[in-house]
Formats: sequence, structure tokens, C-alpha cells
Amino acid sequence: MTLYEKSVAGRSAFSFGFEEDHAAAETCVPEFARAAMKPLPQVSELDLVRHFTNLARTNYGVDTGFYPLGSCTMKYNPKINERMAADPRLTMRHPLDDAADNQGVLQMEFELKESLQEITGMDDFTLQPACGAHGELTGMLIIHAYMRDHDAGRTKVLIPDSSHGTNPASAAMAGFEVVTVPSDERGGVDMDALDKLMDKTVAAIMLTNPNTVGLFEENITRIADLVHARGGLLYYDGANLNALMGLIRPGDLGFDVVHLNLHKTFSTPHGGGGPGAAPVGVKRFLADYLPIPVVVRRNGHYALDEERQHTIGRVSGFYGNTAVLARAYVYIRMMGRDGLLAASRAAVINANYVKALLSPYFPPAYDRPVMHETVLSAKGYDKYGVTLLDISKRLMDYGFHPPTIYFPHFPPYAEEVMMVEPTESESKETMDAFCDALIKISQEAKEHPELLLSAPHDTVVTRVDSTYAARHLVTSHRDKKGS
Amino acid sequence: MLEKIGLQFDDIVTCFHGNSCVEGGLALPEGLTEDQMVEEWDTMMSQNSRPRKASLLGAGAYMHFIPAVVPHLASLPGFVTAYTPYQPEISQGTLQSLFEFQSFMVELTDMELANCSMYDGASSTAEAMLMAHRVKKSDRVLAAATVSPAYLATVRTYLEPHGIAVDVVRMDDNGQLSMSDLESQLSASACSAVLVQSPNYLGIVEDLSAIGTVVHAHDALFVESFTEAMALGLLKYGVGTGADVVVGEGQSLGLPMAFGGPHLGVFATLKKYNREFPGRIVGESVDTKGRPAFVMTLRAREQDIRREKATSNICSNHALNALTAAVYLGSVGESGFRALACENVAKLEKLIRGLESTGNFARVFRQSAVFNEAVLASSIAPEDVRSRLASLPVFPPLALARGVVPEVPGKPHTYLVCATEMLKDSLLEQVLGALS
Repeated sequence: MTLYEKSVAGRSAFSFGFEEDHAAAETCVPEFARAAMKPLPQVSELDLVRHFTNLARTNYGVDTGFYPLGSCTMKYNPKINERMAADPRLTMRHPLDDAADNQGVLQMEFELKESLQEITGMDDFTLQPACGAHGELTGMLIIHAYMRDHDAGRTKVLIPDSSHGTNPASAAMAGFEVVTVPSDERGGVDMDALDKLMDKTVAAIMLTNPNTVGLFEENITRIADLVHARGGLLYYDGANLNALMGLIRPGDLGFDVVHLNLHKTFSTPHGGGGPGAAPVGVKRFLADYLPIPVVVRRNGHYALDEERQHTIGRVSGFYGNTAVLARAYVYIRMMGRDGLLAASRAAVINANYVKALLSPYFPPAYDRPVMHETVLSAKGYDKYGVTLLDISKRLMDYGFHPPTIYFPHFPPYAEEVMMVEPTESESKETMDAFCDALIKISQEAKEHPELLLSAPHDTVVTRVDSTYAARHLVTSHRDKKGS
Repeated sequence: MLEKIGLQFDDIVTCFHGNSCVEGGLALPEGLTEDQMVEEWDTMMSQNSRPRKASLLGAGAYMHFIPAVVPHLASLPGFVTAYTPYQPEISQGTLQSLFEFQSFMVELTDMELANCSMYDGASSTAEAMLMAHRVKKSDRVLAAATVSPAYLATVRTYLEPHGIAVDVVRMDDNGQLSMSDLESQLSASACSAVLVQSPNYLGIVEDLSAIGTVVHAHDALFVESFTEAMALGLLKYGVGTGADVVVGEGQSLGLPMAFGGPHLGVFATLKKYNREFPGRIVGESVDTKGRPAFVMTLRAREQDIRREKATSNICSNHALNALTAAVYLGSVGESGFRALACENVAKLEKLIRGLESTGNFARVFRQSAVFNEAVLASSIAPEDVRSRLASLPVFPPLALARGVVPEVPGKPHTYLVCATEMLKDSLLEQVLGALS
């Protein structure tokens, strides 16, 4: 039941107790005022609390259990981050108030920027982008503006076929034509294809490293040399940085622009779809293109720099998701130099461990050690009449969130692949239990396929019909009423 | 575990092939314990000035009261620690909350369909202009000069790489969009969209219905934008005013200002654009037992399926903030939201009257209707306003740059002054005393 369906006229969860007679207020804007208030639900505070508390209980989160969603880095979200980010000395700050009154929050942002520069090997950062795709757009706009000033004929961007869908979408949104680069038989960029495609119409190549199949791009130095020698730039999608902290830095590998997902690598919660934050780092020669304003330190004071001659302009109303940045700041400060390195090492070891346990049942896409995630194939289970979707739904009955499924979709692994990313947060016992469940399900597929076909059984709803939703479009209470 | 893997860690990272690894570790400090962290955080945050109880500063971020129940429910770990609801069977909580948010937005904007959030008002507005370009194809759009500068700048950033020209429609003597300039610019050449913000940057309510009629006569899309969601409780938007898209900032719906974010992008449109709009949307469906269940729908527009042909690159949005707004609206309810909107109007009215009675302030554009912000000219300079208010728990108003509004003789300084329900009468009196 929705709140509207629980609504009873005259109930209210909150009273403001205004003493004013508001008739005057309504007459001050008579011609533009609504005739009447649009309906909102009328419920008591207790009704409201129970409504959302019970909804939260039907949700699966990292706090509920193992969430090995590949490429999403669902690591533990430390509770101290939440406490610091809820500090009223931060949450009650108005963004347009004088910088002199915001030195604490600006210091936090500046120090976060410095830490991210060190972790990635980049020279400057904007903290503004709201999430990964926004970071990609910002980074690609920077490249677009730079090329407009220096080499206007470069209108294309190269993107590997293994990339996340946001990469081509962001490049297109930044005004580029997208050209797909095939992968080679080892899962990396096909160097011969790159050699043919990398000409003077190409502005940049967008890479995720480790890539979406969890493999480190072995030829990265050759790629960087080739692209740079022919006048292009390298964009680093930091979705998978969790494998590399303290081990290797994108800036040292030749990347010119980098975005980071603080809601992945830096432990800020994902919130059921955001808000996240995706700072974008650049090498020195691009720093003047960053969106304004940029947090800077001058003579021991922190300020917002609006003067960047070649800036791409603004990408948001203010300066980015400060309260999310605060969580990442706390994470980095508490982890410290050794903690971040230990996290990446554990993330890599955990992924290889899960791969070793599951390989006999779900063969890996590539027979190589992986970084922070592994892509496994469920091909062959079709002979029992079950698909990967059935397997993943059955995992829910065992109390686990399924891995990312049917991704990446590039040949030869276009079908039936799952991407498992345990993260560093998980214990051996948790991973063992998860692998045991998957192995058991692989047996069930042979002996009791109906158990998989009708899964999940223990959830508040069984499988949801997405085709029905698209054909009978109901996206609001108003649609439901049919009005 | 390494035994099971059959490799040592160093064997795994041979894939680096001797690429420049970090020698000697990152140059970062050692980690802190939780108690050390709290201590350090406290030292840093005490560098901010002390907390304020009200704000004369608005201009896109507003201080409103947030009932305790709102952050409590929005902090439930089931909501906070979940990912995007790709697996509906174990994500009904997120999905239904977002459906409820969409329902509220459809009502408040008076549109037919609302997505389940964008990043903020500025990016949502920019995306609306891109959508209009997809629909109408003309490489020209119009935007009112009275749109917030940050929104206009964001629109330009998003449109520039596509070669779409953003032409500005002048402001008239009442601080509203000039209807005659709009007419002449629309007649001059085709355009995909007209962007108008109401209340506009100067706090003035625009005549959306009149504008909508003109825009549609010239076959452009009408994009209505707002920075103050509280105005949705009182003012008319949407279908009734001819809107094709209503976009704006939902921060006022239970979210703290938080030094600029995370806030909440609202995006609502008409059903005829249901293949064109950006962002995710939740629909109601059924499960295999015929029970109602929620699921993300109209997915064929999105980047993970359409890649470079997607309607937008947006993936993660501000779902938890949409959920927060749903809780907030559920909390204040129908009558509360209306009363709040009226209280904002009344409070500003009171503040303006008080400031004018000091003799140091005079309202500019006094014929025009306002919501909770207005432009006042003053004889007092910005530094002086700041220092006079320094001892009060209130953010000083925004000083406008010269030339933004016509000058008032003897009162060379202009301010965008905001008042919300947070400005209690006792504090209001103190403010007036300080500025007398």
C-alpha cells in the first residue's frame, strides 16, 4: 500500500503551529496561485514511521548481507562517516555564505582534493560532479574544450567494447562521436585495432583499468604511448580503482583525466541509487579547464576560485555533494596510507579466492588472475532449462544479493556471465557461504530446476513482470487512479 | 585463501608488467582511530562560523525546518546501504519509495510523469533543454535573463558541445521576463525551447500561463524551472500553464543545505515524451502471483542499454534524497505544505515591511508578486550589513552585483533577501534592530 492509500482526511504527522492568518499571503499572488492544494497524503507520524520502516525492511543492503555486485564495489559503509557528515556545522552551511565563515568545510574539501591527487597521481581536482556519469561528462567536456582550442578536427572518442554504458553515453553527451574498440582474446584492448583507429580525428580513449572483466590492462603503457604520440588524450574511468590504491596510480600510467566514484572506492553509501560523488582529476595542462569554482588554498586560507580562464563553466548549481565528500574524507583519514593499500590488496585476494572456489562450476571468462572482480560464465546450464537469471534469483533464497548479471555484453561473453566483486570488507566465512550457495544451486539446476525457475520464494514479492510494467505504464498514484 | 588461489599476491600483480608502481607507499598520513577522527573533525569544523537559526540568504539553497522523523527514516540502513534497485524482488523498499516520490512530484508540478530524480536543479534544467533539442531539433533555445545565473551557466555548459545557441530573453521593468522581447525573439527564428524560472532569480513570480501561450504559438517546448520547491505549495505550474517540462531543485523538501549538496533534481514532463526524458523511473507491475510490485521501467532509453544513443548518460541519481523528499511531504502533508508556503510569503512580507520602515531599504519591482525572496535597495553597504548582523544567528542576504537591477537613488546597494518559516518573529525584530 502506498501512503496515498493509507491517507485519512484531516490527519497530519506534523504541526507547525503558525499563528498567522494566511488569507493575506494567498491574496498577494492571486493570479498565479493554485485554486487548491494538490492532494498529498494525510497520515499520522506513527503511520509514517511504520510505513517507511517496513519498506526499508523489504530492501537488501550491505548492512543486510553479502552484496557482490560486480563493478559497483559494495563495500561496508562505516557508520562514523554518517555521523561526521550529519554534523550540523556542515549540514547547516549555506553555500553562498562568505568563504571566511566556511573555512572548516573548505579545508575538508581541500584536504580531500590533495589526498585524491596523491592516490591517483593527478595534479588538480574538481569535487563537483554528483556521480560517475556526471564525472565522465565533466571529464569529456574538459577534453572537448581542450581539443576545440588546440586541435579542432578531433571529434571522435575510442571506447572498448567491454566498457560500461555510461562511457559512450557521456562521450556522446559531450559532443563526441563514439567509436568502439574491440577486445583481444586476453580481454584487453585489441592493439591492432587500436593502431588502425587511432588517427588525427580521435580526441581521446576512455578506459577503465582494471577493465569491466576485472583484468588489468596489460598493454596500458603501449596504449598511452600510442594515443599520446598521435595527439590523443587518455581518460580513466575510476569505477574500478578499488583494486589499485597504493599499488599503482592512473596518473603515472599516462592518464590525463580521471574520475573517481567516491560511492564505490571510498565507502560512501549508495543510497539505493545515489547520491554519490565523482571528483575529476586532471594533469596540469588541463587544470585551467576545470569547472568553476575550484577549492584552493591561498596564504593559509581556503577559497573558491572562480577564475579559470578556459573553464568549461558550471556543471552544477553549487560545488558538488559536500556531505558525500565528507564521508570519503573521513574514510581516507581513518584508513590512512597503509589502510588504503591493505584494502586494495584484500579486494584483489578476495576476488581471486571466489574465482578459485567457483571456477569448477562457473568457468571464468578469462583464465588469468583477476584484480578486484571476476567474470564467471553460467553457459551450459541451459541444458537443464535454467538461465543465469534463474540462478541469480535463487541466490536470494539463500540470503545473498546476486552478482551483476548479463554484463559485460561483448563477444564472446555476450551471454550468461556474472560479475562477482566481493570487496575487501568481506570475511572468508561470508565468501565461503556465498560460494557454497552457488555450488548448491548448480546442483539444484540439474536435480530440481523448478526450484530455480520459480525463485525467489522467500522475498516479499516473487519475480516482477517488467514487460507488464512497460505495457501498462503506471508511474504515479494518479496513473493508478486512472485519472 | 592464497593457498586455495595457488598464487601469492605478487604473482597476481605481475600483470602490472613492471609499470610504475607506487614506491614506498602513498604520501598520506597514517590512519586515525575513530576517537582521533572525531577529535580532528571537531577541530576542523569549529573553523566554520557558528550555526545559524535562519537565513536571509536564499538564491537557490533554502533553510527550512526539517522534522525529526525525516532524517530518521531516510537514514534506515535498508535504504542507505542498498544499490540501484536492479533486483526488484529485494528492492521493493527503494522502488516503492521512489514511486511515491514520483506521485508527489506529478501532483505538485501538475505534470503527467516524473522521474525518480536528477542530481540537482541546475543539471535537471540543463537536461530538460537537451531533451527539448532532441524533440524539436532546432539548434537554438531561449532562456529568460531572470533564470538563476548558476542554472543558466550549467545549461550553457551542457549545450555548448552540441552547437546549440542559448539566446537570452531580456528582463522587463517589473523584474519579469519581457513578453515583447520573447515575442520578437521567437518570431526571429525557430527554437527548440524556452526556459523560464518562477519564482525567478530575483524572487519574482513569472506569469507562466501567459508565457506558455506565446511559446506554444511558436512551436517550442516550454520548460518551467524552480529553485525553491516550497513554492510548489502555492503557485501554479505544469499542464495548466502550458508546460512541457517542469524541472527544479527539491532541496527545500526536507534536505539540509549542506554547503551545496547533495540536493535533489526534479524532472517532470508529459507522457508524450516518455521515450525522450532522461533518468530512471519506477512503474507499478505485478509479480508471478499477481500481487502489485514495483520495478524500474521505460529502461530502453537508458545508457546501459542504448549506450551512446541513450537519452542521457545519467546512471546513479539522487534516489535517497528523493526518498527523503517523499518522507518530508508525507510528514507535513497536504495542509502543512500549503500552510508552509503561505507562511513563507507572509514572513517575507513582514520582513520587507520592517526593512522599509527603517528607511534604509526600499523594495525594487514593488508591483511584482514574490514568494519568499525579493530585491531590496539599500543605503547600507554589504560589509556594513554583514558586520551589523554578525552577532545574530542569521545568514546575511546576498548582495547583488551592480547593474543586475535598476538603481534606486540614494540606495546604491541591492540585496536579494530571503525569509522562510525559520525566521521567527523575535529574530526578525533583532534583524530589523541591527539594520535600523
